[in-house]
Amino acid sequence: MKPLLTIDQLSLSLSGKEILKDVSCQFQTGSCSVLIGPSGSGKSSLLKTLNLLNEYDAGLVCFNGKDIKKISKIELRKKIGMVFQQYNLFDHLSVLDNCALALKRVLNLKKRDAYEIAQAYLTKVKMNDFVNAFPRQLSGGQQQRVAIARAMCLQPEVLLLDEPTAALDPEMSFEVLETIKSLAEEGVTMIYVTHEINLARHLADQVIFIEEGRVVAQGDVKEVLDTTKNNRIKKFIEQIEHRLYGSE
Amino acid sequence: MSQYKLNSTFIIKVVVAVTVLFIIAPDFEVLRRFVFGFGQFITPSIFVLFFAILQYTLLKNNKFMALLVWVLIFAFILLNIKDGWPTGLMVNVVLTLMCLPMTFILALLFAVLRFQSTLLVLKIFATVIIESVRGVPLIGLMIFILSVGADMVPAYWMMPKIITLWMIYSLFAGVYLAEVFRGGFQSIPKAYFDGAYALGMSPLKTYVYVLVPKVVIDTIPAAFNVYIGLFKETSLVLLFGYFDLMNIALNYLDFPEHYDESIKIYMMVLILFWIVATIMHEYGHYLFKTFSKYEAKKT
Repeated sequence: MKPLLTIDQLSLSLSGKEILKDVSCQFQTGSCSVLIGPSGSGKSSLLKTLNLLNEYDAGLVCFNGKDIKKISKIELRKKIGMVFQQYNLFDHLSVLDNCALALKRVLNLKKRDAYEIAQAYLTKVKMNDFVNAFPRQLSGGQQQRVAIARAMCLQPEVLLLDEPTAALDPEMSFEVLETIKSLAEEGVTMIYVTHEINLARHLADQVIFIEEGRVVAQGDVKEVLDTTKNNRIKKFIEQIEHRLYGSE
Repeated sequence: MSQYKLNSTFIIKVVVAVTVLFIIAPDFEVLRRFVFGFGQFITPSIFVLFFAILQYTLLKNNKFMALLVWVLIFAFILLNIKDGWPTGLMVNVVLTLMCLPMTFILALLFAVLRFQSTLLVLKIFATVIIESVRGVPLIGLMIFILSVGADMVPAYWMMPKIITLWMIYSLFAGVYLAEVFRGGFQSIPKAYFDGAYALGMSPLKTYVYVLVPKVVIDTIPAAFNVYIGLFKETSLVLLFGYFDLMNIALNYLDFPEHYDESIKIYMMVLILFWIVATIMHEYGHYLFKTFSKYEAKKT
């Protein structure tokens, strides 16, 4: 089967600093890929690059077999949605308006249709009781669920999730993870940056370990997380599990 | 949720000020002339009506209607401008009203042009205009344009003086407001841009539908500061022969029989200015509370 998204020898520099070096990987339709690695390794930058929020210097990124630089940014972003770690909701718009904005202004849908679709996705993430609330009135977990609904409203083919639970406490993380699980079950192609090893074990079809801007390992969960011989990955996973479960 | 409640202190302040005004005014006719000049009561009543409609359109978020009401206010003012109208405090009020939308539009335009970094020529243009106009005194600019400028342009380009004054005031207040808006744009986190772009919005749509509404709401208090300043500066029109509140008061005091009333008359002028400025301030507060519901703390 042809991959939906292919990255070939991608290099990215920001403010003169090399962030990604020769990154190559593939993402299949309907798969869930998890990017793991230490902070500052370039995982978020890679996601932003796939959405063309970062302009890469060299390499090739193909979406549906087409070079993404040859697709208009707007068209590409309609098909590749993104959810940010800090939610990036618009504080001055209500929950419903946050979700309906792109439907009205990007897809040029009528107000009524836009609200209908937005309402449907908010119901899906169990936020239908908060349609008239403003982001600042919601908890972190609720805001993140709204952000997911907002990205899903455009019915993207790929959903990029940049550490959506990193800023949340375990209880709020649970709410968001439940939402993500249900999306994965529906077959939405997801590329997920996270430190949640358990979630990766449960959901991921593919795990990619990135360090210092390079792909250190990639493969299925077992290959990368459980039976790896790479000491650096072993140590990283140990540290995360130690942080999660203490020294028991 | 934060909601506007009519401030009792505001009512008390205005009632006290109006009472003092009636007590110190030599007679009702003088007070009437100071406020309405030589005009009729009907025109201010029409303004109140216009504002009631404008208020309604704002609350209904009907931008087209709001624009239409401003056009009607403008048309009404232009059709009514003649000798003897506006005069008194109405000059200051009418000029401020005329300047509000133009100041707002110019400020937004200059702020966006100066803030954005794609169109460098326009950025430089906006910066030059803002810095040149802000760096000169208003009175100097007015004299330059109205006297020197008038000699430099052909006669058929000449506009009614009030229109020229309207443009000067709008430009002057506009550059100050532009800096307020620019501050607003600069305080917007990068996350807003990323959020909007990731949704497929173009930079223009991001400005129009996301950034501008947020900046305009966030800067309402600071913008009203500029508007109040603009209202007070309209008293400079007396230098160009307009019978505004200040000029009418000075004329009144020219008569020898009124010499001993000077303290009362100057106090009346200041109190009248103060009342309008206080109402403007409260209106700004009301708008901010109404449109910044999102500032509410967690419920």
